[in-house]
Amino acid sequence: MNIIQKLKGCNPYDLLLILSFMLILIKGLEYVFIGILYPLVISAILLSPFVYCYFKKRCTISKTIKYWSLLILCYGVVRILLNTIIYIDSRGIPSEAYYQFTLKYSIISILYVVIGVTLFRKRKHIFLNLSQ
Amino acid sequence: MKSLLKVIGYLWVTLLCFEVQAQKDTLLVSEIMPLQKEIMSRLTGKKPIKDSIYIGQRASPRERELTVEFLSQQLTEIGWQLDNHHYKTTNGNPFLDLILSPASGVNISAVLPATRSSDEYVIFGSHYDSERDCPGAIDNATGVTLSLAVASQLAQLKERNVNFIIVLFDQEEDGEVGSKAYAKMLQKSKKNVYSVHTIDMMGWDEDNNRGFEIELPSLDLERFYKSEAEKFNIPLYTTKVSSSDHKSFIDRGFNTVGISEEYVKGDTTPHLHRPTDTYETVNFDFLASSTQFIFHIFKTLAQ
Repeated sequence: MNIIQKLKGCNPYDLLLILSFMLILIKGLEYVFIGILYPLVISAILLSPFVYCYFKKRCTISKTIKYWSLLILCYGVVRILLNTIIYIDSRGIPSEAYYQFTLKYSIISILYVVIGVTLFRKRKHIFLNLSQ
Repeated sequence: MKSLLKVIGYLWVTLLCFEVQAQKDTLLVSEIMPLQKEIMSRLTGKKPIKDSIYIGQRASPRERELTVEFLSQQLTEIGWQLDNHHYKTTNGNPFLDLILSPASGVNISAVLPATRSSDEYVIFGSHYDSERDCPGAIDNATGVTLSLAVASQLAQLKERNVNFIIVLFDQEEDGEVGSKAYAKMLQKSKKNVYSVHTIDMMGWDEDNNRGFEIELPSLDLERFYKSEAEKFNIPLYTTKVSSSDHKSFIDRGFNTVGISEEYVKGDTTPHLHRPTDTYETVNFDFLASSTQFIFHIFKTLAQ
């Protein structure tokens, strides 16, 4: 109950930030379950500036959110670019990968871009909330 | 006079044996060929694979799912115990892994237990997937139909001293993904595997010599296959081709052989990975005679 109330009281941009963490972590965990660690390790490395800021309050959280939002934005753009390249020429692409470029994939890619842009634009609001 | 009669008698018995064997072989071919044509037509979109669904390739998740359903049913019908192997693995490229979900698939697997207690296994099979935009008749519905026909004949043997496992691999065309996952699982299972035989492309024989190639065989299996091929007067060539499912098992240390039409010798389908790799290009006589030979190999191993 407490968690739900806390979430209700949350700034929507904070929730968006949490959602972006979740998306990246889930991607890493998906591979951990089949014994492949590096996607999670890469996710953890990318998330490490937040952990650093949490424990050492010296650095500004606003800068970290800026870095994170750009990362999420780039990730979404790379996904869209890859989709476009495969749409133009799919030779040499394994069928397993080829058939993952679905409508769901496109929607998620756009979602990454939207989250990235929103976090970048509203980073100061998130900063205010986190520093309170 | 007596010795002459003995010689004549011996010759007569030998001829009779040959005649009986020839009749058996004809019977086997007449039994094998309709089954292979039927399965081939379903796998290559000539006939529906299910209800009114036709598949022109076996590459997308849905087409592969339909193929799994169809082939699993075939194996159950001929009396094998189904034990399909579901797997999830890397996409084979770290960059793709960061973007996409893990690769997943199903190796269709079934067991035919020995008729007396044995912990030894002989494993054989072929991949069932195809390239995109390719019906994959020769590559590799021929391997699948060969394996199924052999499985059907093995189930009819009254005596088998080893257990057999048939595996129809998924995602060979994506870099032997299915067989790699299966070989890994097999190694972990610590089963007592005597040998692994994989078949990839057995439907082209333009020179009608019934010849085929064995790829990267272990010394034991090479000797065995060659001595048996001599008995059947079949030309057999050893090659170093490593681009198929047998490599996954060799890499894990199994006693393995890959079997193929004369790919290196050049008597091979010109339609490989093309939309023209259709039912009509398959040499069913060659497929049936190869099936007979491979069945003979497994029958000998089962004794």
